[in-house]
Amino acid sequence: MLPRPEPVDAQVAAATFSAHLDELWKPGGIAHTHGWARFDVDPLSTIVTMRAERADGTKEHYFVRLGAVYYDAWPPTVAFVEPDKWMQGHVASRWWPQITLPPWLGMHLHHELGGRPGQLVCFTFTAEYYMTGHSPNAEAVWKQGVHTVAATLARLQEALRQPYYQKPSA
Amino acid sequence: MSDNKQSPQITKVKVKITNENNGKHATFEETDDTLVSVVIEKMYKSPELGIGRARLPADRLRCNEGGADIFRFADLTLKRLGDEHCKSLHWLFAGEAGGA
Repeated sequence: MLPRPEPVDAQVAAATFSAHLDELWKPGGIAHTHGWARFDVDPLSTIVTMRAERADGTKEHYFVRLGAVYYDAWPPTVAFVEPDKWMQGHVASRWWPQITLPPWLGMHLHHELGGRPGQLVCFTFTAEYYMTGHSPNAEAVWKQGVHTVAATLARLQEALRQPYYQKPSA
Repeated sequence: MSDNKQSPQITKVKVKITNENNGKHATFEETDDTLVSVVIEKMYKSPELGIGRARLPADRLRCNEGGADIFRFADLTLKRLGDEHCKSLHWLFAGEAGGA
């Protein structure tokens, strides 16, 4: 069993998180490739707007909140949030995507995390994955210095494209 | 006696590769008769991309347009790959991820 994430010094986490995000938004960077937009909520959290595309070409967008409390000793926390208050929803809604899951991803709208109900976007590049007792292959484990927030966003973006993305869940 | 054989025209092309593990990207300038396998080899050795290791079985290399598996086409030239499978010549590298 892997150790549970522990909070990192907040100033170090914020500086690392910001530097890694800035790298993605450089000219020619992966944010431009995928059309991501970014809105920093505070030094330890940001909202990324991501595009999804159905098989028939219909496009939708989603808001993903990334948190850096454990970063980058562990990956960022991840939640799909609603645009009114940037909070995660707990019921199926326009803002929770319906995805035919690839083998490396789980999506749970209702999950107990630390005694509180919450989303669990479950793969090895989210902090929540390590809070819920998994035993992944060694090569799939988040590695500080190898993986950055890019890995988290790239996998989410893949799930929001074909052949995985279906439509909003409501 | 004239030789009717025409040598194929060699064109320079740019292959952009993004390492999805860290968001770093690099562009490789090649001729279009270069084999895809040659660029893959350069990708793993590129300090700009920072992969820093040899290929692993779960590694993936996808075309940014349509998601074609570039490893499958290692024996093709870049021209054939671009004409038939990945017009943009922008590839996305990803290591293994796991979940449930």
